[in-house]
Amino acid sequence: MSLTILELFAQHLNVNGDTGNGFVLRTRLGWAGIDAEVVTYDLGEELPSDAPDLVTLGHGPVSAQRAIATDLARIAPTLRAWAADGVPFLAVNGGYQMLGSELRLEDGGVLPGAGLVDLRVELGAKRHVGKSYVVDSPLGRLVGVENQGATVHLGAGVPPLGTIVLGSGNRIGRAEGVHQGNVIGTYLHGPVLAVNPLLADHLAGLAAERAGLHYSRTAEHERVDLLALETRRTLLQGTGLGPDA
Amino acid sequence: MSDPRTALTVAVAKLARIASRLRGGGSAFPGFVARRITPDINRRLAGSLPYGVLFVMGSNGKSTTTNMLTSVLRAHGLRVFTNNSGANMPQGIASSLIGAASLGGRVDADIAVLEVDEGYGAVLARELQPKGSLILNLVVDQIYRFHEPDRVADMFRAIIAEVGGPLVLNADDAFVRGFGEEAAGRDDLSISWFGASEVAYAAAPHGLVAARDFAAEGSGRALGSRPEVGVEVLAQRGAEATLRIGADEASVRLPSRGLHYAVDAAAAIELARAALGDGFRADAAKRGIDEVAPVYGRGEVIPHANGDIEILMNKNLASLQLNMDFLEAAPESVLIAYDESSYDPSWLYSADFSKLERVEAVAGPKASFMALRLGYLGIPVGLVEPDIGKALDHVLATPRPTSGTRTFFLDHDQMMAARRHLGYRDLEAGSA
Repeated sequence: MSLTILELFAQHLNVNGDTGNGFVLRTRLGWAGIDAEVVTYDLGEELPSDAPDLVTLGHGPVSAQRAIATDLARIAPTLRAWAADGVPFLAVNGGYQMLGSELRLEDGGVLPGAGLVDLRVELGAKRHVGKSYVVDSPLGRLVGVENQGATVHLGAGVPPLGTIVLGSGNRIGRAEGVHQGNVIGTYLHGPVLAVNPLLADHLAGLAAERAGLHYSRTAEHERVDLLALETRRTLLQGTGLGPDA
Repeated sequence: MSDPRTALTVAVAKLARIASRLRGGGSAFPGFVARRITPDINRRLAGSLPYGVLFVMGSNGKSTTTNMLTSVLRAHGLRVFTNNSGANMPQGIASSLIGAASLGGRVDADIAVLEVDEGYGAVLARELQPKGSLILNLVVDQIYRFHEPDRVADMFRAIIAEVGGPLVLNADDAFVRGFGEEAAGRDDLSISWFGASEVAYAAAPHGLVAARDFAAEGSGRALGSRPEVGVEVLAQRGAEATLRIGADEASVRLPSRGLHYAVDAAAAIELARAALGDGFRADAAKRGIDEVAPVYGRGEVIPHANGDIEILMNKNLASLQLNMDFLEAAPESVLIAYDESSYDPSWLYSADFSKLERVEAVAGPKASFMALRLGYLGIPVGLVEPDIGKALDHVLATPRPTSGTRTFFLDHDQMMAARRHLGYRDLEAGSA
């Protein structure tokens, strides 16, 4: 059997190498002996009839968020059913901003979100671009870059992905991202999974387990994860922080 | 006409240049000084040019197109002033103009061709009042600086609002095409177009990697039919292209391989046509393009005893992808280097690296990003070494490649560092 990784709006939400996340998941599953394929969903298409094993959303400009909003609302009931069943989702930046009930734009307009988790987003905060974005999560320390200008209001009791060590995050307290059930949203920009194998392994492991398969790391994982460790060290240069919490 | 204030400002700025050079300072310093004394110094100096100033803009290809347009105009017998690539912001342009000005405050040229950074274009347009402009493309570029392609589009719109006369645009670029349609009602602009045929595009593995205009797509504001194109790339193969120039056809030799260079040539010729009017000659345009040497690091080949070095400069996904797409074979003895200024190299995950079989070394402060990307693809990497000098020494010590040429993909800062390490001291002098 083969696992399916579904990239939503792969044309619109891929301004920053975001499709790297699906590629990294497929590659790591492959190293573990689990066949996986990446399929894409684009504006106006039909979702696959069978639930995928993983879903990813990347980052796009506001113009892309506007362009997909109506179509996202159309497919949202199916996405919500998948999330309720425990299908793991990873949404990055612009995609993360569309997971909740609404996305309020700078011009006062409001786009509906997918309604997968209880959160709402307001664009228009002073944009923060940081080359060292550091988050401590229950999974461990996550490192990346940040490039966003929004406030994310998580609903009562909705857990964030982690706590900011360096960066702006949700701009409410020290919260970064969201992690409810198997749905993860984050401001760790671009191919966060390549740089943070522990998050990739968490998602790959969940997908494998749901399919009754066993995901385990191999020498290939070790080889590439040494390079990922070097990349995290590069991102942390000058911060006085280490790659582990 | 001699203008005492301009003359005095030029004199002071030239002294500042000498002082700055003695201290090893930056080349934009004289321009900084001049603009402090006489804020409109750019306008004053440009005003001494009988044919005025032409602007070359776009995310990618500015330096090459500036060189091409300069060469085409020279082939028409004009004396052309142009800025060094990299000196494309207000102070840098002022420094370049001052460098070329006499102590009387006059630039000794008939016309200026200036490469202009989109972030400063509106200011420069107000200062310099260009007599003609061109916009090559809009690609996803430097999102740590520009955040979204749509913001870059707004910068171009602000520039277009400041310019008059001929405006030469790319008919096949979503955003740039939209600019022309938005400005179609202005009678102080004369818009004309360049582009490439469907046949030429079909031969390009990833097209020209332009950004999509989601706002236009989402609004249902469908673009009109493709406008009539003045200069069109009919076909391109390696570094050869066939262009239709108005009613004429010409084969040209490009400074390096790829459809992007052919489209740059079409853009340069179309602006020359628009600016020169009846004085334009297709045969001179062809000669001008044929004579263009690669700009500094854009397909430039540096001779070396143990195998020549071709430098392909990359600053974003589009430039890396296009430079790889038009390689004739798997490149040998590859060095890839990225600097701190690349800031967020996440876009590496959108690039298709299938042309690469092996990479001899990755270098630069961001080397680990590239090593990780290649690691996921299973492309062997010989050495990961942040220090470009050490990485160069390693690569140059490997056996001479069978093709005789090593291929280096470098960003701007790493290219500069590599050239210094190879013993090229005169970094501002242009192509070797």
